[in-house]
Amino acid sequence: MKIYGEYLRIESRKDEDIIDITGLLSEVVGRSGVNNGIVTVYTMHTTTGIAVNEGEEGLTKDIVRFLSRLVPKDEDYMHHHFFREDGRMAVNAWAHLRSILVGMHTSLPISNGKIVIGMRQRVFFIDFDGPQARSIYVQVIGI
Amino acid sequence: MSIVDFHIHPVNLEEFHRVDPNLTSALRDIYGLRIGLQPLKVFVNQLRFFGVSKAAILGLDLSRTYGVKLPSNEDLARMILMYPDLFIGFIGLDPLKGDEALSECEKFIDKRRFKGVKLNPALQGFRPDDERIYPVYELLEDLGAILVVHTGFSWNIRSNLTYSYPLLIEPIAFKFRELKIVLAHMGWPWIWESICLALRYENVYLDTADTFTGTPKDHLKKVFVETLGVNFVENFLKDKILFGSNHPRMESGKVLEAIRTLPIEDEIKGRILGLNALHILGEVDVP
Repeated sequence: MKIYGEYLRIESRKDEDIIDITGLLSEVVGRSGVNNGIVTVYTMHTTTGIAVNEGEEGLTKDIVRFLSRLVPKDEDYMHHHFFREDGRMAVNAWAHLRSILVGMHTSLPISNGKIVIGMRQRVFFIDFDGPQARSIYVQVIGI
Repeated sequence: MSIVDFHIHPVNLEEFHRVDPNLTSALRDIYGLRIGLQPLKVFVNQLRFFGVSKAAILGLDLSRTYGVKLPSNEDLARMILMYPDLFIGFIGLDPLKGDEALSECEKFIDKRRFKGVKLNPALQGFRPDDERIYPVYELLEDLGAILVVHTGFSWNIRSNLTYSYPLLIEPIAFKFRELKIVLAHMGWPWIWESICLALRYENVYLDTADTFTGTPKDHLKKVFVETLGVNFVENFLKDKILFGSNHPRMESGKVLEAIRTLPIEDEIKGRILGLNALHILGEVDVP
């Protein structure tokens, strides 16, 4: 059995950005040499998320809008105070909470060297507090 | 509308840390900031996404006290060279270095889009009213430069807040009337002392950088609405306040959004967000 992993950099370009990473995952699977197994993608940040859904433009806007309504920025959050160890104020509880709702990883099967994914399904990296350079870890396990 | 962020510390740029790994420990241990590194192009995109059209990048010379520059003036010059339409520079300077400090001013200011000097007396370890520094102020005045000086609070335990008391700047504002002085952070919590200087002296300005009492919206509401009062800001300070974020301790976009939501007149917000800065940079006349 092989275990293969890569860190990938994602650069978000908006404050709330949904980025299709399906192609990147397929490339990692290709480089891993695994034909049958599982690929897991995990975000390294607590203000980002990983989701599988349809890549229709209107829907991606709906996702952002829905999460913004669910977790608005202008609330009183207990997270919003000075973090001595970071040397800065924490002011983005909403981004953390949206990340929790979306989840921080997903796993997909691999069959015959390809990711098994539905016709309308795409894998998205979502930045809730961009634009920033972000990191994800992709691990492929199989034979 | 022109938006000018007058207070940015480019201390977490990947390119500079790659060349000098000491910067990474200095950023954490001396500057007191634990934050991820970002590539310059991502930082530039961040500023542009939020609509910032000019960004003042500030140096900090801690070489005498801590053996490091965060970042060096040469690094600032590289940034300006790469993005001349976006960045304007304020060199980091240790004014106690005598002739060396004067030479550094002459080398950079008014060349390669450097507009002045950034001093942080509290962290650099000097009294800003120390008369040994006066030749530097005199030269800055002669060069038509701007002095951005840290005033007020700092979370950094290495800072000596005695040296960041705003009224220590009064003898400089009085003696060097042509030297434009920006009291960074509005001197919080000594806001009224800072305002005394801004009201008394035509050459003294204030910037909004950082947020000490909550989110940028919380903090600026406390300062502008609850402490100063909207009417006072609109009538007395409309040409005195500059938008500054203190990035990366607080992202530019978040402070910008906080200013936009303040209940003050749009025309005055426009001055705070950009026109006042362009005015002191000599790029526009503001009635």
